Amino acid sequence: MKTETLRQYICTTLLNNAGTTIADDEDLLMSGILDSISVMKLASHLESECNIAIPAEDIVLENFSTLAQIQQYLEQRMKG
Amino acid sequence: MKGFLIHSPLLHYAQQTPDHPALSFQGTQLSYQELDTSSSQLAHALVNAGALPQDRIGIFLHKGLELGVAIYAILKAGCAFVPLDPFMPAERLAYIIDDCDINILVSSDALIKTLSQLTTSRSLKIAGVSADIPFEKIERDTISDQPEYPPEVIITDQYLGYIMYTSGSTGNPKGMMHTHSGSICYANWGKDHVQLTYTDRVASHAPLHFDLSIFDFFSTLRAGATVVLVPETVTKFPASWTKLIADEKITAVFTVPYTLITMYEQGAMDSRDLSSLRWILFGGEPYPRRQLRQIMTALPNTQFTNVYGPAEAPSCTCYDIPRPLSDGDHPLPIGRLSLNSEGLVINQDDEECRAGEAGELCIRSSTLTRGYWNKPDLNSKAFLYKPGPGPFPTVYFRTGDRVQMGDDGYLRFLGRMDRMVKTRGHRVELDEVESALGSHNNVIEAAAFVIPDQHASHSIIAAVTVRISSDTNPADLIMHIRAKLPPYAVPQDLIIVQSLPHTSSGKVDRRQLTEHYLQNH
Repeated sequence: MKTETLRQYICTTLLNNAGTTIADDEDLLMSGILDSISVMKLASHLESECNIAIPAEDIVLENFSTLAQIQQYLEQRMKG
Repeated sequence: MKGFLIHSPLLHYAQQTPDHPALSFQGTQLSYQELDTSSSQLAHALVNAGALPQDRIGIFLHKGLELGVAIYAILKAGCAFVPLDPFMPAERLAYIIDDCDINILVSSDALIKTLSQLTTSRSLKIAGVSADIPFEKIERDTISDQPEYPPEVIITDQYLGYIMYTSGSTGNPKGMMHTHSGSICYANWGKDHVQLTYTDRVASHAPLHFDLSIFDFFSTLRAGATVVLVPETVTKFPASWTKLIADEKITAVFTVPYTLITMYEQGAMDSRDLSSLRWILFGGEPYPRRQLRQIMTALPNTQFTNVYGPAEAPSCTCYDIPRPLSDGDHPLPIGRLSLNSEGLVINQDDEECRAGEAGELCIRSSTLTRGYWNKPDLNSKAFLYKPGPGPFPTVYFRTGDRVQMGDDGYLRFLGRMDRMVKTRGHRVELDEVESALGSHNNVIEAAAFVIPDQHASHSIIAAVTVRISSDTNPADLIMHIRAKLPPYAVPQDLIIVQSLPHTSSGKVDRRQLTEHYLQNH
């Protein structure tokens, strides 16, 4: 999944606001963009879009704090 | 200093066990002595900056060691701390600052973005910030030069220790005033009930503006134990949260059912050793038996306690969950009134109900708030005055909760009398959500309601009618209210409808709206 598609999903579907700007390295949690509910929505969206399983132990801070981290995690997961 | 104050245990343990960790955060620690000296230094700086006894001082900080230092510094200066949620929009922050006349804030560079957006007519002084901001700063190096003992300020246990703001039905939040004496009763209750001792490590994951944090800090330090501060980001990930419990060997936690249910249901407990966790207190919302039974099976040696009490009168009843938890799906009792409390169940005429009859729970408790800051009208409605034994009336707080006393002597929670709801443990007045929506120029009418979610909590939904000529869409409205409401109060879904259903009396028919929404979504 491209970073742009991911950014668009977060802005339009999770935040319901296409006008939000999110930098690749912006902290999605500390800035209040994602909360516990939207993280879960995002994870299940990624599972169906990328056709992968994301185990509970992977839904952690280190993989979901920024767009770049999510991207990196997805790449790893899709390779493996 | 007069009598026993909420910060007295810190001074005591700084003498008795100076090197024992009082606070721990992401691998760094502050010992009792370090917390004592750094909070004394900040207290001096606050006094030098003009803080007078009983002034309100805002704490605008993320979780971290500085948060603990700020709490104890403000108390030592004889002032009351006011938690300001870092995730709160600047407009709401400004309202609270103006409402309770805050002149000084303790904050940090991490929050300068919001601080710079703050529009207030007050000439604020801000401690803890070195970056450029449009306010006067209390410089860091002027703090570290201060004496390591507390400032000489007269403080009594009837002084306010903190003011906590919560959702208000008028559209603005309301601040509950709590005294040192009430907070000590709450702290003592927590320490005694959970039998906290020196070796305990209590995880503090609730935000400071949520009253569970009072247990986290004050019950823990009352026992000379260690508060392990949990970064806000960690609690958003059940797997990170259970990792922290295992790595930090957490022994006790006070949380909300939502956190425990997601932790279990997302498999975050499966590969972790959580055997250190000897006590879990939960409150804020009912915990369905089926789901509680699951987590109790997964943690066979942990004691679970259902704690009930509005933030105005924390921990007034509690119920230790027996093992095995009996079958069925009837609601858990909220328990018996604790030693701190007396209760009345009253009917619509403010008269005491007969045994077993359902009514509103009114509480008289040593942890009871002194009232809402600056809200005389609300104070006259929120309290019930009954003739007392002496010349003064006995004052009870009207909880707004419908309860019933069972034959077993335990109280059971039946629901709310008004439109306050709980979402993931947070209190939200639906009137406040509607008022925020109604403040948008193109909104004609707004109705907020809740639907159950899969984690035994509620999701807030809003239905709105807008001016036909306008091209307002849900995203515009969400953006508008995000600037006014705390994140947890922003509806999960917002629909624009042509008209809202009304009852024959002209009120919005929320029941019909809820049913219609559930059928179509």
